[in-house]
Amino acid sequence: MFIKKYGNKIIFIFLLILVSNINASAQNATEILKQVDNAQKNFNTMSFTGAMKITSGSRHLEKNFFGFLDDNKDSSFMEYTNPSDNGTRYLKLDKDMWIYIPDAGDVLKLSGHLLRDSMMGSDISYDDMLDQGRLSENYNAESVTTTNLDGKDVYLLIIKKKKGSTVNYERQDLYVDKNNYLINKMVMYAKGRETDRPIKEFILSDYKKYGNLNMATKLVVRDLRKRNSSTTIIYNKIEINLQIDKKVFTRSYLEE
Amino acid sequence: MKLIKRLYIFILFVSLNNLAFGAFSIGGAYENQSTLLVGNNPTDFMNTSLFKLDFNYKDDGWRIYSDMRLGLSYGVGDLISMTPNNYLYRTDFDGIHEFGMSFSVPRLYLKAQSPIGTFTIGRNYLTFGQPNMFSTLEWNKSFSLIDPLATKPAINMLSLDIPISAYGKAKIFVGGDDKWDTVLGGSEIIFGGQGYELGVTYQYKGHNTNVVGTFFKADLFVSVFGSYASHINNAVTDKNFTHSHEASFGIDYSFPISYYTLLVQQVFYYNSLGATDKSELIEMPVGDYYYRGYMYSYTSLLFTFDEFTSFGTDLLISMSDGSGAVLPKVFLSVANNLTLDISMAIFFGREGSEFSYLNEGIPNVSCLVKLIGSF
Repeated sequence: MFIKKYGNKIIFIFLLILVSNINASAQNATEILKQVDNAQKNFNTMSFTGAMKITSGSRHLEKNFFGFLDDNKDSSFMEYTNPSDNGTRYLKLDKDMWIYIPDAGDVLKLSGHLLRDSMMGSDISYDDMLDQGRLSENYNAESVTTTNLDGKDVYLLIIKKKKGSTVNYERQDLYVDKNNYLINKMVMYAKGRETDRPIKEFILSDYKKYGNLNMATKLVVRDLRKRNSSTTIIYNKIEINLQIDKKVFTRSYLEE
Repeated sequence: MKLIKRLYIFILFVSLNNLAFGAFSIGGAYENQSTLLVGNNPTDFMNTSLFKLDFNYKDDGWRIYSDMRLGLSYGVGDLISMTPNNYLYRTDFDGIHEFGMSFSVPRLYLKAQSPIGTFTIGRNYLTFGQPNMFSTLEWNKSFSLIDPLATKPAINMLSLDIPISAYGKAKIFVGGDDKWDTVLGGSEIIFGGQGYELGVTYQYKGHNTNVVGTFFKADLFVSVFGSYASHINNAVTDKNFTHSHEASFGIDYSFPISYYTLLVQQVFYYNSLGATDKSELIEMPVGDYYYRGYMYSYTSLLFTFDEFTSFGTDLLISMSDGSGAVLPKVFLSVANNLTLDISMAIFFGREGSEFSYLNEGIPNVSCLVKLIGSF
């Protein structure tokens, strides 16, 4: 009798609570995503020096590099210094990229579709390496839950590509430190026919503080479609908010 | 010639004199190239060991760079003669095979920055075209029919590069060949924006020959690129005035296949001066064009497995007579700073066709094995 009389209202209230919880979760997730961006992208310019180790089974290749980022202009410059790639330079201006080939003494504009391809055969694409766009500009925060990562309570923040965005990944799962909003792990997904497929995993560690910026100085990247393959990037030296000559982020600088 | 030698001695002197103040680096490579010609009678070969040494000195507003190469070659004499090196020593061995020792300095230049741009003086590559030759196939380095080993000849020149925006630049140059028999000059402007690049170039190639060219590259659903060149010769003297056209158009796209990548490229090339008569395809001089025919199709497939392995094949077909070459290739990273490239050229075509001059109608294969160690 009670159910019959109040059943519809109970269901309505239940749905209302559910929807409001979902809204609250999405709202909370959006807020956390902003906090993540603020924690990770808190710089104007950056110079970096590092090393990349590409592993495939028992084989290893090592590469060294240095570069500059300008977060305000979405511009980046990078040069390899290991013997086999010495002097190979990359310039990325927004979605355009050029490569300088020292043996030919010439600059080549990379086709746009190549940016999603592997950089120097590693597990990282050109976009992964040199793109410094804010996550909240390209992704909507869908949900947030709490989970455990290596014995630590973290947020599991699921973000999905915004309509019209040109980023490569359809979805990302971010494992975010509850205390400082730093990302400890990222899993990237490609759009699948029925469900999205995980294709890459980034493990971020050895965070160091540079001014107001906390930055992971060690990244281990795995292409989840490959067996026994990983790329480890270690940043040896990072400086932020330097005065970087504007000409560094020009096509003609590649040939200097 | 004396002036040029003094200039290079000056560049080296400045370099040595400033060693204590700037960043100085030395690098280089050892490269062994083995070429095997199968199908000739008898089967022939050539082996070249190349030692490459790079000096780079950089200071505020200055850079001095030199690329010096010492080569040791042994093999069939005709092939040795084709290599663009200055031979210090050559010997006849048995009438067919020869030994040669060469030394070359493809690049030795000084770059100086100024408020208007960067001046470069010395021996350097033209970044568009080659001396005496501009081709619509040359500017786009994403494929290299004509310069697979990046060993294009350099010239003595003075150039000025002027940045005009983040995406673009202008360049002017004057220069000449080693003996200054041919004086060259030219200019180039490259514009760019999001997803495209557009360039215009003019070259005076010496001996009353000129070329005006334009080229573009743009990202649509696939990447499209093309170029056009107008050759205007003897325009001033009006003696045997000629005007001809050359054009290329291509597309490329990379297909992700799981975590592998397949890069596909298709290019068409047209030359209004190209021979259509089959007999001319073999007989007529190439002049300042790379090929004799009027139209070619070039297809390239490159499958990248990972940093350690990639392989593919190129296919070049002369559309005048259907002859051509298949060029399979494998690139391997053996270890840190050690790579192994293996490529083949298999020529095909009926007797009397364009590419049959290499094989007289008999299928002919050449194989190049290249081992490169860098330090």
